[in-house]
Amino acid sequence: MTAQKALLLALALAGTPSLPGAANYSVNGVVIDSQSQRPLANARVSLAPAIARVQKLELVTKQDGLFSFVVNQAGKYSLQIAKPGYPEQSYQQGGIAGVSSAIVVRDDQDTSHVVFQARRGGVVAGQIKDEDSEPVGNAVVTIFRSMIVGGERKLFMWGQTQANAAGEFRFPNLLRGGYYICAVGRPWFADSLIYLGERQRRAGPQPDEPPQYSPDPDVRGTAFVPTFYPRAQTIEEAGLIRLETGSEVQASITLPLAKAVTVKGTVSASGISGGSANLLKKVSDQYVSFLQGTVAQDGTFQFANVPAGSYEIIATSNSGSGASSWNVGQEIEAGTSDMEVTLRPRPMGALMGRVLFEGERTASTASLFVTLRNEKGNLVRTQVDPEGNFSLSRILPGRYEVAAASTDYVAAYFAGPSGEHLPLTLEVASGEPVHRDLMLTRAIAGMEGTVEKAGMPQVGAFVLLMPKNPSARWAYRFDQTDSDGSYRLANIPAGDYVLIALSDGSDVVYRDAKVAAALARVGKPVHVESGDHLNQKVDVISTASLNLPSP
Amino acid sequence: MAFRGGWVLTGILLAGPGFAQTPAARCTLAGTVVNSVTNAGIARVLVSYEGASSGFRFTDTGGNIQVASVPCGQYSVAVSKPGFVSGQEDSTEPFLLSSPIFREAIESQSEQVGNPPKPANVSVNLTPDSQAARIPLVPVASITGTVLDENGEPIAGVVVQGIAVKATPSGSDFVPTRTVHTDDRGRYELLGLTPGDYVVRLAGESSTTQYFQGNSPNPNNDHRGMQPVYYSNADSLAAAMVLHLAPATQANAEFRQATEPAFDVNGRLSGFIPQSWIRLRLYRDGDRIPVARSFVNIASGQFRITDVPRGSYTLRAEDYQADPALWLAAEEPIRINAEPIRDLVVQLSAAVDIPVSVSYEAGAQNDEIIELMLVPQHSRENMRQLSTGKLTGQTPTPQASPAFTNVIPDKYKLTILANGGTGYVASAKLGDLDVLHGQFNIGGAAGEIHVTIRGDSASVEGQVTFQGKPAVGAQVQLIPASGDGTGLKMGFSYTEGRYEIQAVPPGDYRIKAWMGSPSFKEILSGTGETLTLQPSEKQTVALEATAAEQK
Repeated sequence: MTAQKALLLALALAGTPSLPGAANYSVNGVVIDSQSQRPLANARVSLAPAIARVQKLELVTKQDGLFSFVVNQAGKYSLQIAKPGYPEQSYQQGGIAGVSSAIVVRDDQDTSHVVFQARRGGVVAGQIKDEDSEPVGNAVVTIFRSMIVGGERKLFMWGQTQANAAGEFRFPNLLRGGYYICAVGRPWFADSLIYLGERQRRAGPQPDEPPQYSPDPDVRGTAFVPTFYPRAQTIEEAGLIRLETGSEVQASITLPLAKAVTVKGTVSASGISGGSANLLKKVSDQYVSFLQGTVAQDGTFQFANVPAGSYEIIATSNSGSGASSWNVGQEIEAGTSDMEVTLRPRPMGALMGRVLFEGERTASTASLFVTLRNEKGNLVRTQVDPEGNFSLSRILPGRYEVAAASTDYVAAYFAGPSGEHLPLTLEVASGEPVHRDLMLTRAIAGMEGTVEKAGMPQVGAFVLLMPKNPSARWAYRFDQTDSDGSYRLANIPAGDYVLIALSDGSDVVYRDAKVAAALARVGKPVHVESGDHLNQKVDVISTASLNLPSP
Repeated sequence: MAFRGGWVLTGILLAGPGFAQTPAARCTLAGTVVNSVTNAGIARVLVSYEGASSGFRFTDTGGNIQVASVPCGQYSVAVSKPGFVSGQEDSTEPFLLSSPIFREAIESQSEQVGNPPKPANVSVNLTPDSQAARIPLVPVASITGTVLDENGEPIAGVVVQGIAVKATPSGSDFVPTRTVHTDDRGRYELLGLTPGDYVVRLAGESSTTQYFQGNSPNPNNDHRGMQPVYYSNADSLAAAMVLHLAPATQANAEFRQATEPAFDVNGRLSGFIPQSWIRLRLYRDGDRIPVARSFVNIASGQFRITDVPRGSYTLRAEDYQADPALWLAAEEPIRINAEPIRDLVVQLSAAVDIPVSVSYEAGAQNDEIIELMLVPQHSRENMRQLSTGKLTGQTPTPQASPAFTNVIPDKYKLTILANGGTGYVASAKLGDLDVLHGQFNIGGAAGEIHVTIRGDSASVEGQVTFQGKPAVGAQVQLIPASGDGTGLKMGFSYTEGRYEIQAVPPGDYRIKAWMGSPSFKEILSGTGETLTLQPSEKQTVALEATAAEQK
C-alpha cells in the first residue's frame, strides 16, 4: 500500500492510535484464536517499533477482533497481544519467547491484512495428597518444560508454585509442549513429632520428667519423599505431560511418607566464615530446593527431617569476594541413619580485564557482555562498564571459552603483553584474579536475505546457518523471517556453513548428528569470510517433508 | 516477644472427680476427636499427651485414640489437625485484651499459611473409671470468588485480602488474616478461615519492598490498575459488607471492577544508609494496608513504585541499620492523577527519642514496674517497649533516664501496664496531649511523655456462684463503661468461689462472671451489673456466673 492510500485509510478510521508525524502507514488486521479461528474480543493489542518498545501503541479489540494502527515511519514493528487465558505473545511467535516475526512497514508491503493467530494457554493443574488421600497444604510444586532450544532438547525449570491449603495447584498460560512436575512438601505434623521426640531425648531419665515416651507405633515417618508425576523419584522415571494448545491436564501427585534422618555437615576450610547451605534435589542439570539452612561461623550446618534419597548440598559463603569467599557442592546419599558430611570448598577464581577495540578509538560499551562457558556448558556473564572494564568473580576453577558480543562488535582474541594474539580460551585457577585484555573487532560477517516459496516471501520461516564443523558450538545462527520474508543473521564467525530455511523450526534437533546430516543434504553450502556481508535468497523447505530422524 | 510463647490453654475438660492416685495405678487414656458441626469422628488427628507419661497417637478413622496402661493422673492433651481450629478464642488473656494490637499480632502469626495448625489444649485427670474424653474441633470456613473486569474478562494476579472483623469497645477492629492472588480464571480462595466475621478487600497489588540492583521491573507490564474496593463495591472498610462465617461454611464474594491506567512513581531516597534494610510502602489515605509494588536500589536509593491507580496516598520510607540501632524514616504525601511521578526526592530524617517520666500521686509507691508500649499504626514490628519504675530482683538495671528511642513518624497508640502494686495509670500526656486514650501523631521533635500513677485505686471482691453453688475457676471481667477497650480487668475465682480484682482505676464499670472462656464479643456485649468505684473504695459484689457460649 502506498503511504497516500494509507493516509486516506487512516483518516477514515477515527480513533485509530497513531504516532505523530507526516507520512502514515497503516497496520491493520484481526486477532483470531488459533484453534477456533474465531475473532478474539477484549484482546489488548500493541504495536511498537522493534527497537523502541516504550513507544508502543495500544488498543483493545471489540467483538470483531479487528485492530488498526497508524505509524509514520517505515521499519520493523513488533506486534503483541495480551488477553486473559492467553500467554503474552508476539506475532508468529515460535516455541521460545522472543523468537517471532516483525511486521515490516514499507511502501511495498501490504500490512493491512495481518492475521494474528493467538494461541490459547494450556493449564497443568492438580492436587498434592498424602497416602491417606489428605491434602498436602503448602506443598511446593515445580514444573519443568522439555523443549528444543538451539537445536538441542533441554529441560527448563518453567515455574514454581505453592499449593493452597487444599493441596491444589495450577500452572496456567502454558504453551503447547512437554512438561514434568515435581512436588516437595513437609507433613503438617512433622515439626510437632520432631519436637516431641527431641524433647524426650534431651530429658533423659530425670526424676521430674515423664518416665515413658510412647510414639504412635503406626507412624510411617515424618518426611515426604520428593515425587515426580505420576509417582517417580527421578525425572528419568517421571511421566511426560503432553499439553496441547489451550488444553487443561490434571496431574495429581501422592507424596509417600518416609522415615527421615538428620544430615550434619561441616564446611572445612581455613578462615571459614558464615554462609548458607541448601539441600537440593538434582533434576537433570537443574535443582529443586528441598531444605534451606545456614552455615554457622564455625562452618557447621544441619538439615533435619531428610528422607532417604540422593541430594546435592550446595553451600556458599555470605561474602561474595576476597579470601573469605567460598562455594562448595557435594552429592550425598541419605539412608536410614543420621549422617555427617565434610565439605571442602574449592576456592573461587576471578577474571578481570578491559575491552579494546581493534584499530579504532574506544567505542561505546553499552549492552556489551563478556561471557565464559566451560565444558559443561555452564555460563558466567557480566556487563562491561562504561570505562570498558569487566570483572567476573566466584568462577569455579577450570577451562573456559570466552565470548563477547554487542550488536556491532565481536571478541576476536586476547591481547598478550607484547601485543600477540592469544586464543579465546582461558584457564581459571583459584586465588588471584586472571587479568586479560579482550580485543573486539568490527570486522564481523553478516548475512541477510529473503525466504520464498514459489517466488512469494514467507513469513515465520526458520532460517538456520549451521557450521560444517559441529564442534564450532558457538557458530550456529538462526532467525525467523519477518512479515516481508526477510531474515538477518549477525555476528557470524568466518567458516563453512550450510544455510537452510524450514517451514517450522521450533522442534528441529539440529545439533544431533543424524539430523544435521539430513539438513546438510538439502541445505545450501555457504562460505563466510570475516567482514563479509552476504545476501542469500533461499527457498523454504517443508519440515515435515524431510522426515527428520528423531533422536 | 511475650506473645510468641507457647500454645495458649483454650479449655479445661475435667474427666473425673480428681481424687489422688497412687503412682502404681494404671489407666487408659482414651478419647474421641469430633467435628463440632457434624459430631462425626475426625481421622488422623494428632493427639499428643503429657503427664506421668508422654507420647502421641493419630486418631483412627472413627476419630478415636487409645493408649493403654499409662500411669493415672493429670495429663495435658494437645489436639491438632489442618482444617480445624480449637473453637475457643484465645483473646481472653488479660494481656491480649489490653490492646487489640497484640491480638492482631498473634492472629496474623497464627493464621499465616504454612504454620502447623494451632492445637486445642485440654486438661485430663485420668482415673481408672474415666470415660473416654470427647474433644470437639471446629471446621474452618472459606470465602471464594472471581474477579472480573469491565468486559467480564477475568483479572489474574490481583490481591484479595480476607480481613477479620473483631468487636472492641471502640467499635470494629479489622485484622488482615489472609492475602491471596487471583489465578488465570480470576478465581481466588481464602481457605482455612477461623469462623467469625470477615470483610473482603480487592486491591491492584500489594507487596513489600523488592530490592533490585539494576533497573528492570517487568518490561511487558501493561500498566493497568484498579481502585481498591471492599466487597461488595464499597470504597471503605466502614461501608464493607460483613460476611458471617459459621463453621464449615463457604461464602462467596464476587468482584466486578473496572481496570484503569496506573502510573509509576519514580524517585530517589535522600539521606539513607546505603546497603541497609530499607522498606518503601504506599498507603492509600485512610487505609492501613499497603498498595502497589515497590522496588528500591539499596546502593543508590533509586526507587520505583509500579502501577499506582489514581488517588491520594502516603509514601512511607523506613531505613534501619543494626549495631548501633538507627532508624531513619520519611512520610511523603502523593497524589496520582493522570500521569506518573518522576524524580521524587524523599528526604529521610532520623527518628526521635521520647523521654518518659513517671510521677506518683495519692499514695502510689514507685515500687511498681510500669511497662509502656508504643505501637505504630503502619509497621507493628516497629513497636517500642520500655520498663520504668523501681525495678527489683531479676529485672534489668533501672534506666536512669528512660526514653523511647528511634521513634519514626507515624500514628501511634500507647499502652501502659502497671504491675505488682495497687497503683493505676491515671494519665499519660505528650506535652499537653492526652496519649492514654486513642491514637496520636508523632512527627519530628515530640517532647516528653509524662505518666501519672495514682495510689488511690479501688478494688472489687466477692464470691462467684454457678447454678447457686460456689464456683471455682470462673472468669470475672470488670469492663469500663466507656473508653477504648484498654481498661479491661480480669480475675478468676478460686477456693469457695472467692475472687478479687485490685488496682482498679476509679470510675464506672460493668462486672460479670462466666464459666468457661467467654468470647471477646460476649464480654463486650453490654451485659452485667453496673457499679461505680470511688477512689480507694473496696466493694464487695456477689456474682452468679453464666456459661460462656461454646462455638
